[in-house]
Amino acid sequence: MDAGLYRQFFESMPCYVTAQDRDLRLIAANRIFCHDFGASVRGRYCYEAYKGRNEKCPLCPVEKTFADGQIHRSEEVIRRGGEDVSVIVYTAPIHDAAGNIVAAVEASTDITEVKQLQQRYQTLFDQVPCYISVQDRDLNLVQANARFIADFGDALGNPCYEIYKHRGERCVSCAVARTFSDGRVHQSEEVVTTLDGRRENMLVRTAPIHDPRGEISAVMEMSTNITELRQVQDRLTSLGLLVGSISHGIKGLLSGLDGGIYLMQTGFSRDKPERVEQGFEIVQRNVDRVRSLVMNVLYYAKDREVMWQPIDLQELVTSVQGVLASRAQQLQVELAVRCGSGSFEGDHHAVHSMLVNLLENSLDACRLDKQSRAHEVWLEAAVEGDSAVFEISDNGIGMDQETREKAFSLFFSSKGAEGTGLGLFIAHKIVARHRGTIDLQSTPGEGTRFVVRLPCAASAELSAKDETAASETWCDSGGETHFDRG
Amino acid sequence: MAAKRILIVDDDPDTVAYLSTWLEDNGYDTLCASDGHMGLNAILEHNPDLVLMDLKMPNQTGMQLYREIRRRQALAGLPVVILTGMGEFELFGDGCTPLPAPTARIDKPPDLDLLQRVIRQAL
Repeated sequence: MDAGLYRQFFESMPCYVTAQDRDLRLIAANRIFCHDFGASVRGRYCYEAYKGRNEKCPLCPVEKTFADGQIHRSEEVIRRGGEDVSVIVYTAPIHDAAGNIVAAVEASTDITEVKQLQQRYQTLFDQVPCYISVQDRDLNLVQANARFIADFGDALGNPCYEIYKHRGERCVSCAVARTFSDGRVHQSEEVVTTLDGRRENMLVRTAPIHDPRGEISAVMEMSTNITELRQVQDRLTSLGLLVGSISHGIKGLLSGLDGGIYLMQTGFSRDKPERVEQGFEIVQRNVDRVRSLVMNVLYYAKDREVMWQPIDLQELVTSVQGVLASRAQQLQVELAVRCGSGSFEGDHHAVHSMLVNLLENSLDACRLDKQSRAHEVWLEAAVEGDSAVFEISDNGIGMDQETREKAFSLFFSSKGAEGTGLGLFIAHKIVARHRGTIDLQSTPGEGTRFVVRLPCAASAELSAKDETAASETWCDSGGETHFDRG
Repeated sequence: MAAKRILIVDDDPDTVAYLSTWLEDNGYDTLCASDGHMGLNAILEHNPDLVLMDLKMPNQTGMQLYREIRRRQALAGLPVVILTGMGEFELFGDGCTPLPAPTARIDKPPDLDLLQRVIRQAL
């Protein structure tokens, strides 16, 4: 081919082609380069012409070619018409007859459009609302989206099971491994741990990534966070348990009511007034228990707004005593009450329920205690400083450590027939809503003591947020009480 | 003829009062126990003709009592009627082996006519 033809090839190349000397000065440039960067390029430094720099580039591919005589490839950003342009650069040596490198040719192809497309896909990759990672055959991470990196760290090159399972070896039924094996999409549910220690439930799908030869070169793993869904499921399960528990409780109460009515009816028909009286007491007692159950369910089901009002201590205690006197008598438990004068602000209905729940717990503790001794339940109430203090104690069966730790948990009940597992949970919740505290002390075989402190002053300025935060804390952990240590 | 003796095992005093009064009104003698341990002692000491028991009692003594009754050869012929507010359930012995079914299972609150028929049939 003659020199003219080679010249034509040089000029016609659809990319920027220049030749540089060892000083990185341009000694030749093709037409398209001259069109875009100026015709008078000879003698200019390449870094000045391409990039508008006044010093050479830190990793100059032309310099590398001069140094080792090899072809080099790099991605660069050049400056054209005041705008940045991404290019792929290839440099190659030009030898003289003696084999010495006398120049380097630099060919640069505009990849701006490709880069923009890449950037768009990268944005999609990073913004998609799930975790995406790509693993090689050794299960090492080769790529991950921004969301993944934010929650699990930038640990490319490390095995996936180390990064989000904190395991030392691959998972037993690894979906990624299965996809490598059969080339199919697989699905699984996993529990992973984020950088900040959160455990999250994930629905994982894996898909193969093929290379140009059709071989599976990597597997993409897409994980959707379903932790909230699982929490809703747990809540529904709890509701199911609640319904079952309430159903059992109600059946017991209906039995009691049936029994009371039977005793009254037959008492009248057989002229046995003592039986009528016994039946009436049973009916009264079970109606109170129904009321208590309904109130507890309502408190559980719906966060009732606190109805702040002045509450007279003696009136409250007298009312509570009246509700429980009959049951205490039936169980042959002495219910002793001591009350000082004073008042505090609170929700009368709620505080009444709270005290009834705690006292019922004490009566049950006495009923369950099989030791032959006189059983007693004490209720003491007084205003001490800026708090209304209630002490409810008994010499019943007492609680072991497990029972103490779970006493205020939902559905935990150590009782048989009438235990719905709501009573102490609700009492706890009511104390929290009043910004009070409840202390529990108990010794198995000796008895139990609850001490409730409620602030006297109205908390009318409590924001809705404060109340919600308080109730949310109770629903989640029930753990703001001060449990006795033994 | 001596009246048949029925042991009532239930931790709810109101249920015990109800059932014992009704049974006595219908010509039966009654014994009462408030948990499974006391129930077993009463069975061994007084040889009741039938046991009418709740299942859900504190410390799971209801289930323990039922297992114990079914475990002992000497009590193999003792009719046991379970009166309970629990829904569907299975009765298991140790190692998850199902236990023999009770004589009858009646939901609370009890249908007295049904309970009457069941007791008459069993005795």
